[in-house]
Amino acid sequence: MNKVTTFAMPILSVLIIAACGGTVVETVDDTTTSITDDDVQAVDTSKFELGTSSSITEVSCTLSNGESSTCYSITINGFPSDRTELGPFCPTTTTTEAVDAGKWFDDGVLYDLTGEFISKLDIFYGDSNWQLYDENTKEVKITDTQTACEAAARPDVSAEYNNYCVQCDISYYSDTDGEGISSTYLIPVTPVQRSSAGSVDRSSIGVAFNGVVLDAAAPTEDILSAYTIAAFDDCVGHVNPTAGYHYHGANHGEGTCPGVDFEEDGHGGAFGYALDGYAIHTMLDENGDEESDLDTCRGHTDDERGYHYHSAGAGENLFIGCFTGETAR
Amino acid sequence: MIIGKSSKHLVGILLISFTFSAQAHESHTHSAPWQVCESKKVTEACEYTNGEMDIYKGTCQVFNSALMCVRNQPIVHAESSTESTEKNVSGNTATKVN
Ligand SMILES: [Zn+2]
Ligand SMILES: [Zn+2]
Repeated sequence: MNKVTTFAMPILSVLIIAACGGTVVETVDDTTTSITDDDVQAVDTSKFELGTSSSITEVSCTLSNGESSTCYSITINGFPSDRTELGPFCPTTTTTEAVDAGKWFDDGVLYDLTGEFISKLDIFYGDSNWQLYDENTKEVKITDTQTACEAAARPDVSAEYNNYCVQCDISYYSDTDGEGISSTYLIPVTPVQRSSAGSVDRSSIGVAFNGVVLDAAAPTEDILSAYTIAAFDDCVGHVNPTAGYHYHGANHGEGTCPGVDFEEDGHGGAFGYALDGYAIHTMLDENGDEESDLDTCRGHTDDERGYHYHSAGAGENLFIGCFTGETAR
Repeated sequence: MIIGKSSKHLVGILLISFTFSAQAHESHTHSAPWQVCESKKVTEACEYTNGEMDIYKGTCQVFNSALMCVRNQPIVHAESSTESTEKNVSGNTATKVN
């Protein structure tokens, strides 16, 4: 007999008058997700294609609910196994075209970080303090040393690195080509439902099959308030000193970013596992349509795949909204 | 072409900026997904509009100790009734500028 876990954030219909502006705020009309044991599929480690110095082993673990369980201990080398180089990130001059530059996102949209985009940041953000390039040489101000990258790739950017396009070279942190910063993640062998959804907060989201971590939302307010752009490459990944190369969005099939095959029935393909053990699929199906029944974590259930997530769009600074299952402590 | 799109985006920015100032949230950035959840609670409904006037609807969720609007409904594209949306084969929205 199937154990049915219903995790339901209460359906509310409260109207709140916001203190500022007198806005009438709509409240939660939350999706209730019922997940049976049949809807839970074990993690399939054969989907991972990790690079050198990587490993997957089975270990004992304690879940976020305090229960003992078995997890996969996944050690990644932090470099995408399906690519040979990272970038490009920042454009070098104000005339650099999209093909030689990376990306930036804002309000859900992924933009080509061209030289022209850099030169118009003052208009884009409505703030004349933006000046990421030299007015005379038209060269973009890029953090092109380890010292500069580390001073700028942090929440409290020192003033001397305001107005920089921030990029860090993975070679600062790895002597081996095709490797980045190694890290290990625990993922339950079989997902365990939470009684209510768990916040991501500062946790990572999951691990892509190519051995790159899916990171929590980038703190864009901090980045922008220092007049910096933490440039991404086409795959919405960038390097920082602590996490190495990591993703802030899913953008497959553009530029140097390998695509993800649709599933046989046309469903969006999976490209990684969340840290609760549920697979994360692409946003769209083969017809270019989104799923319309996602819960607040961006998950849903079907007969073929059980419960699984669908990533948000490449420019949304997120993959999933919360964890439906327990993560390891 | 670029100027046209930039202008269109600017209109969006101005509208969004106006919305923010109307709500008395002062910031020189306009990261709408964070701003719309500033005075809300976890799982409370949220909605924002990007520079292309597409509508994103979801709930506020916690990232880095702050609330951010996580869309869980399909994007409502501003021009969806007149023109097909720009998508690539891999299942992601295409870039909108340049
Ligand atoms: Zn990052
Ligand atoms: Zn699905």
